[in-house]
Amino acid sequence: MTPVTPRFFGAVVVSMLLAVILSIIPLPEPFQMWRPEWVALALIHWALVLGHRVGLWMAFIIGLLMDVLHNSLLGQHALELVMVGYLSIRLGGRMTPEAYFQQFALILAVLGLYMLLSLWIRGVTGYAQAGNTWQYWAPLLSSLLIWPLYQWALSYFYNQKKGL
Amino acid sequence: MEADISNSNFHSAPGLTIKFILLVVLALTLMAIDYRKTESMAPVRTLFSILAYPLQWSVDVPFRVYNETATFFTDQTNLTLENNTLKDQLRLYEARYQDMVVVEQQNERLRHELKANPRDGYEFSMAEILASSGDRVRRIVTLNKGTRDGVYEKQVVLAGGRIYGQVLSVSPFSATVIQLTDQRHAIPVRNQRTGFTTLALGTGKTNTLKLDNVILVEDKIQEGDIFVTSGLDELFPADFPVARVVKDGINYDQSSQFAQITTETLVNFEQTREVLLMWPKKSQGVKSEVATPETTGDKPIGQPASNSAVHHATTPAQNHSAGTTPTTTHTAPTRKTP
Repeated sequence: MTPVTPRFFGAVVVSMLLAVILSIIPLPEPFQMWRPEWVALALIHWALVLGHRVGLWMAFIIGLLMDVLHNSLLGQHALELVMVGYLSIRLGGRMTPEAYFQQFALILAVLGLYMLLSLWIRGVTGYAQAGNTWQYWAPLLSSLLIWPLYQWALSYFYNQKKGL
Repeated sequence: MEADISNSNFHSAPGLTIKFILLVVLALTLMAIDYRKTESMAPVRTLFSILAYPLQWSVDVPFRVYNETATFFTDQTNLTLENNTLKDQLRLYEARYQDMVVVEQQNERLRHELKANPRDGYEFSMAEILASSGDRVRRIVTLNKGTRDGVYEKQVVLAGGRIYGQVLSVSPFSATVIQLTDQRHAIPVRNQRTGFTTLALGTGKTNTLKLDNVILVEDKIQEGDIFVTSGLDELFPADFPVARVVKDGINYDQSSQFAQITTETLVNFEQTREVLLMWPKKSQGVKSEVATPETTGDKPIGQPASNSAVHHATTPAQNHSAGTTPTTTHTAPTRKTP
């Protein structure tokens, strides 16, 4: 129904894996806290573009991979990414794809929830962050700022039929 | 475009909610099992860390290529200069090593005469840090060596003669190492100057350890004091340097009787790319001191189990009695001299 198709077979998975790589590239300490949530952003992007054709199972598996890479509790990132996928599929269907303002609102809500969930799970399992708590929310801002650029870069991975 | 929007029902996504609930329940189950019984999830972790290895490797490629090209284009004169200094150093260390051999032999002889346990040496092997956890809270890195190279869980990791951390989990090709500064890591330490022992806890901040709830009497701890491992946990070998008390690092709150002490690690975790893995040398198959995995549960890793601390404390006394009265046979219950 939607005129969007992935550019090649497995394009979604490839772009998600690239996002995972972006999330583990070592950064110097001052930039570390500003690292955008690449994987969650990529998932939101695909949910907005492809709708429910994005597999939640894929989000789950990628999440488990993230858990091993980040040494978090097995299932933590999986839960968070599945939630991000579900919410953005449900909410994304109700808005115009080109409206940046709506997209920002959606990302703010979904990513905020994503990070809050992560904070809760960490708190329960004894990894509550000590000290500057506002620093925890820095990636939310950087994710919003990087979004237009990132979305443009990710648009390489699909074909859109124009002017039907 | 207009027709498209009106034609599709945006509230329907067949099977999506069911799948979502299913996956959430699955994730929660995984988390609960992983939290309660970490070891039972080891196969899943190993499987995914094998899958993750190519990703970590590919992230590391640019750094390795840069290092290699930098080495390739280094100036000839610089290399010669470096070579000469290294040779000088080698001569110096050779002389010191000779001295060490003499001392070692002497030590062995004396230990034999005192009927003390022979001292075990260590073997070392280099490993490179492949990736560090992108997590802002955890301090965990991945090494490029795994079970294939004989790495085991709870192995001690050094960086330039100082304690770096310990191995958390191993997969065939890689191993994850928890640094001293991780929030849930604790290491028993001893003040080199005064012999005062305590626990150094990770803070999650770069190169910072804290000593909690220290009762300050006289000058047990001063600024600039160096803390070394005490060896009371029987995991970390004794007398390896760990941390130094920073300037203004002793905070003494008048309302409580405890002091908070901030120390900086002697390893610069930011700039370390290569670490040393440490194997206890098996000498005459005496004892398995270091490789005794104790289930830590919710405790910080590396915290001494009470029985091991007591056990360690009693050993010198036994040695002493055995030394003064040579006729009594040395019957340490757990450690036996051959």
